[in-house]
Amino acid sequence: MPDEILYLIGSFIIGLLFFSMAYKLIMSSIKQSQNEVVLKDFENLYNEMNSVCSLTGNYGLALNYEIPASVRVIYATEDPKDFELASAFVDTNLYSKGNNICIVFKDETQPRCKRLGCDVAMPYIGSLDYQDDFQLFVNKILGRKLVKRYSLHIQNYAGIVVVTKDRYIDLTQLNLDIDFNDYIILAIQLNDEIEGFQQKAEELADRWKEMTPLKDCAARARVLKLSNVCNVPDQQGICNGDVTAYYQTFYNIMDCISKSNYFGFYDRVVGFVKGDRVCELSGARVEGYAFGYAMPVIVASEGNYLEIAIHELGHTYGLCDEGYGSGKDSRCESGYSMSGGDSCDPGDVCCPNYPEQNSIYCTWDKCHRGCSYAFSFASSSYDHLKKELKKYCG
Amino acid sequence: MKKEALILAILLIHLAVAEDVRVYNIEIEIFKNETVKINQIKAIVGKLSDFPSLPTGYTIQLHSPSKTLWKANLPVKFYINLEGAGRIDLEKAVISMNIPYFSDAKAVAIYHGEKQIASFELKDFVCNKNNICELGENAVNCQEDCGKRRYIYLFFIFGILLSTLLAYTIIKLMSSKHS
Repeated sequence: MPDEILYLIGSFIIGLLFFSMAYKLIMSSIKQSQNEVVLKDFENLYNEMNSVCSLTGNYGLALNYEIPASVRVIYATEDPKDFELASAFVDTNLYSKGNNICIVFKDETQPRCKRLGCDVAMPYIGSLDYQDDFQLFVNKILGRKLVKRYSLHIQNYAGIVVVTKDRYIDLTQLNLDIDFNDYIILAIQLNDEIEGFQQKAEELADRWKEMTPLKDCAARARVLKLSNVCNVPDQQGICNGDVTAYYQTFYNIMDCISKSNYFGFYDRVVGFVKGDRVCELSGARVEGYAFGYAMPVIVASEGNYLEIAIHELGHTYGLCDEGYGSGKDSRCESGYSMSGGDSCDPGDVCCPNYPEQNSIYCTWDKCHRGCSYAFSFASSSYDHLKKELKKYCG
Repeated sequence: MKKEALILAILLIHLAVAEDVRVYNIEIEIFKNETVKINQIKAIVGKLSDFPSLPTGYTIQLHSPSKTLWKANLPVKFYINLEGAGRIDLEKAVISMNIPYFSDAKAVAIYHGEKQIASFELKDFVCNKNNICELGENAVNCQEDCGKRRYIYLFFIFGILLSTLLAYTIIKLMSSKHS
């Protein structure tokens, strides 16, 4: 009788062992097949990111992504071995950065990583333990699939893929090549390739900083260059009075920018036109023009590009021509208002500057105001630029 | 403990320096006869445009349901300035600008002097109703994409609270019967 009891106990222990082994085997096979599905989804996410890498323009794609409870974290990193901290950042507002995208399963101690074609910045997404993860906890008590759903938005910003998971985006912590505090000039070639384009664009940015109040602060003046030529209507049309050519030039330039990686990242856009003039009006050479006060785009001919572009850039900050295109106006603090063209009459908008000696805005003293030209901003112009550019100086 | 403190410190720094870099890129045409045509409004990540510091006669305002959130002069000019060569008059001014993002912004209005010449709801342009809460969309301007999840959470929170209250009442009743 005691033997029978002993057999019974022994059989029970062996049966228990068998059962637990079989259970483990079945569970690991289920887990493996589940992980395969997860890895396939991860592969899809990787492919989507890589495809956005090769996209140009401030465009991207949105997708819904499901992460099962078995996944600890998905993140980007420079160093695939470093994942300990990554799991602590799941569902915070912090971003991971790097050219590898990694996934870590909860029951694994090593990340599985894939190398991307460009840098990516993404939030740490994954699942916490049930008690800490509200979404999983709710799914568990409701008997739903144990997954977390993310709405991911993948975009290419200036060559870096940025993934956002919700409505809040904080790029200040991303080490993007573009610093929002920099003064950024975007240079474009209009209709033709410009010889020495890169160098001319760089020189313009340097000179702009040197001549303006930007030189007195730590702000960086940088230039971004669109390598592709942007097609715009023949500029002579504008001088001939074809206003459609003017509008279309603006729209085409905006279109070229929006297809680049720099849409939204510039302060001013300089379109270079080949030759020593943009167009000719009644024998007078037009070397450049601005689209207006606070409009970011100017067009400048290549010939005398430094003086022309800097003169036109100043117009985009409201500075008026001093020898023409403005008139005496007692309503304005400077005593002058802007009318444009070669008029000597006042206009609707006050000028911040007035006629002075050694001024870049006195190219021709048609209205006999006693001003003179020099390639520099005279005091009233410089003071106004100080106000306009102070945001770059902290 | 040290690691947690480090994480907390990083999070606090993050919150302190957080800056919203979302903007709405708006492309509009303003006609001399005070009509306004909107070509595009889309949310992008980018820099805020410059706006004239001197009055131009035209202003743009961003409104929430209850107040004006932001106001700026608009760069409106009805001529092409060809420097000393002359000027060509225009019937309309074309403007492309990046205006700030506000989570509670509902409408954009354009003024000529004191007169409102156009007003449009952001939801008509930024809400694409694809069930994904995307860049520039939020519960104010896109309930369809961004509002639902919040209501589900609210439903669960209320459910849990109600169950807790019910259980507490039953226990209280039972304990009072025993005593």
